[in-house]
Amino acid sequence: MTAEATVDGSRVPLARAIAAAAALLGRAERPAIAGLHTDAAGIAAALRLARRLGAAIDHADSAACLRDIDAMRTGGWIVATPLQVRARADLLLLAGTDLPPGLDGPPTLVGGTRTVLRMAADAETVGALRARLAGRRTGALPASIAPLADALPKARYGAVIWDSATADALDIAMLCGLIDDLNAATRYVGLPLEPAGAACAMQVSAALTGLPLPLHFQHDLPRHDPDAAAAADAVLWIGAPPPGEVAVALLPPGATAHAAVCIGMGEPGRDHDTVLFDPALGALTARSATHPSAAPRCADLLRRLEAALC
Amino acid sequence: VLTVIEGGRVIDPAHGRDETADLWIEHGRIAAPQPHRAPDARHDATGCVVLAGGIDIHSHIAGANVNTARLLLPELQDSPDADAVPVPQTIGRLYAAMGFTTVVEPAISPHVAVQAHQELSDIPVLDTGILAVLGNEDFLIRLLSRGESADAVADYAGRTLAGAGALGIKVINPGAAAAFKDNVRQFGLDDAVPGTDVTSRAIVTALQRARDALGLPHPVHLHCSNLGIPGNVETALATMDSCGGLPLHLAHVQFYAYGTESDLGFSSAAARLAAALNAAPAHVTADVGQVMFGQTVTVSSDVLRQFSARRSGHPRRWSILDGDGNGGGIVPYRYRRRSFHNAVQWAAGLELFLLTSEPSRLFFTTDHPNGAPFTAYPDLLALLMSRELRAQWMQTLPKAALAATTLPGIAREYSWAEIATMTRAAPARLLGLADRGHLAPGAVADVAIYRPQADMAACFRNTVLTLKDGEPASRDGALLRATPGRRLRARADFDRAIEPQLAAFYGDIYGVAHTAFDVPEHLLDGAA
Repeated sequence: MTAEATVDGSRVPLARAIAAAAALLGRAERPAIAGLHTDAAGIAAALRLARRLGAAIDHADSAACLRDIDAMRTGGWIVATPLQVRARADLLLLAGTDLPPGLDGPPTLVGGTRTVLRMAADAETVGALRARLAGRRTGALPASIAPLADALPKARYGAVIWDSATADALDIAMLCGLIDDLNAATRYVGLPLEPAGAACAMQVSAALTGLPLPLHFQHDLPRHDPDAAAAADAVLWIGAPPPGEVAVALLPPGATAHAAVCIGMGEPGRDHDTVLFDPALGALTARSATHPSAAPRCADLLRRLEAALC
Repeated sequence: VLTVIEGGRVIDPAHGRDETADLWIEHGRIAAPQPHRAPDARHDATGCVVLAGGIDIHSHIAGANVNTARLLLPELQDSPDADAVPVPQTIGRLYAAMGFTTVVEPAISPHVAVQAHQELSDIPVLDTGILAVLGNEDFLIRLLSRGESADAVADYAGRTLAGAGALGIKVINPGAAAAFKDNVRQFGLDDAVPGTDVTSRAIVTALQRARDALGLPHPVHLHCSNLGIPGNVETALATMDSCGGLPLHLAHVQFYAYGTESDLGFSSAAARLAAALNAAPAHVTADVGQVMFGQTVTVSSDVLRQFSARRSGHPRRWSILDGDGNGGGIVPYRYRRRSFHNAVQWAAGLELFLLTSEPSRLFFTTDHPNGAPFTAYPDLLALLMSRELRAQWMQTLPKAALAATTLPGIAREYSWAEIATMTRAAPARLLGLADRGHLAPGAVADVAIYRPQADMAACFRNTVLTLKDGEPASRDGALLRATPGRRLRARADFDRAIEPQLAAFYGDIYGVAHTAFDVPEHLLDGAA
């Protein structure tokens, strides 16, 4: 299969599309790489291209992971892998989220039963619960608090689960505080549910630059900048679908975009071997291609694009 | 390409060599002298010392825990303390500048080996390898608690090392991470994982036997229990005593060289530990884990210890992970000259270096970044080579702290040959890497050229030239090569009959395939 490539809507050879993309990004004053829906190799290649361009770079879902990182830095946290939660947790506290797959049965390693409790993730509710658990005087509490305060300390290995995409940083920090409180007498862990692509991007970004996304490269040096991509005048979007019109789009099979240059790419793990973050494992994992094809890898396209810059 | 390094003082203790000579290199290997051929490249080493490339057996440079430390301390990246959390490009540049060409990342949980190998592949110049952390995994504890055969344990260890692409076995506070998940807060050598009769001691012994059965060159590399606790020299001595019958490497023993003899209940017991090491069988070895003063971050798979220490950090941040197996914890820390405890730790490390008689059995580490970033090596080497320099440093430290050590009375100064043994010849032997750590024909042409000077730390910080595989890799501190080195790993035979057992356990307990964590060959490109 040859790569689908278009410039201004007309099909062109891949090399011409790459050259056109390099020209657009190379002459931009504030280029940005966004979307970043790709695998670990694609993210690493995008970071190298961003450095070369002096560009901003971000993942579409980075905000969720940043909230977790903020909470970790603010008050500390104790978290576990999803495998350990499945194996050991006799109590799950779902803080504003649904039961993740794989956790519906009893604890697989230690046996016994698993209690599932639910609560809102907001800092006010969690704060009230912490106060109650600490035996501090509180005003009138929501009716849901007392049974939680009664049940939580009885767990042998409890897990508090939140959705990083919907909880805010203060909520998460408060949940981490609750977990730390409970660890004074028994065992508790957190299990953040992060968007897999952004979790991968954060790991690759931290390893290569020491910093989380979003970044802005200036004079070869990365700076963490929450508004890095806000004022971009030319966007290279990776993955479908871009939220609006962009200069260059690298697109998975079947996707379309409003972009001056569109280039098709393979799907990691389907068309080619890959390394990506698997939320079920809580780790980066390597996968072989299920349907190996000649569709270009994102990382290879980005390297060619970098080589085509003047 | 035929290369000659001319006129340097060539020191190769593996072959009893210390002489002014030319060193010849061809095809990336040390070659026999070729005086009748015209070399393609000449490097003048007049007035310089020529050593084999340095080998670091224990430096936390990659993997999920190291990356968490980066995310926890982003502000260090742009500060004078950046060396505590270096990125791969910097790691390669700074190690190569110091003349080091092989580094082992000593604590990778098999479940996160893919990530570690990805990061190692981004480090320029260095040949690298990982030790896989075993000793707290649910599967292993179950094998041991059911009294499965030594063969089964060896097959499990062999299978796991192969999947992780590892060079050897690391054991970190065995049993403690498993026990911590059952709400245990203190765990010693004879404590058992709750619900089993599997003691810490039994785990070490079982893995020593597994290593023996697999024929792995590197001994079990053990991070003992009770790290950092006053009086823990007893733990180190007991471990040496009970597990010393088989090859054993004790990691960063400075952190176990503590007594309780001072008004503050803390003292150096390094002299006792060094004496015990001197008296132990030759197959018992140790590395120091020297403390140096300044900001760093502790990155450890000893999750129980890090949990206990989580509120003692500077800045006050922390992250703890209950992992599959060991997990880990990150706690930033600043070692202060004015701190009684930190000064005792600094002195205890130097006592271990200076009171251990054989530099072939005591290895040069700061347990980067736990005792200090690896960039403290030049200062540390200078301290080992100069009693006068040590005296200058001691003048800046609390007198009461030094009185709780024997350091002020120690006159020994390391020679160049001893430095070369400790950082080249001995680590190559300990890791089973016959092709390096020496300068005989056939060895990998990893060579470090140092210019001795009054400021010996400056001498060790930037080589005149570092060669990797015979090619210039660093000159006066500047990186000359962008490509990564090779991956070093062990190859051991094991019975594949362990696979269905692992598949069933992972399927039932974790709901995933045990093969999901395996590192594919393409991530181990260039594996030796």
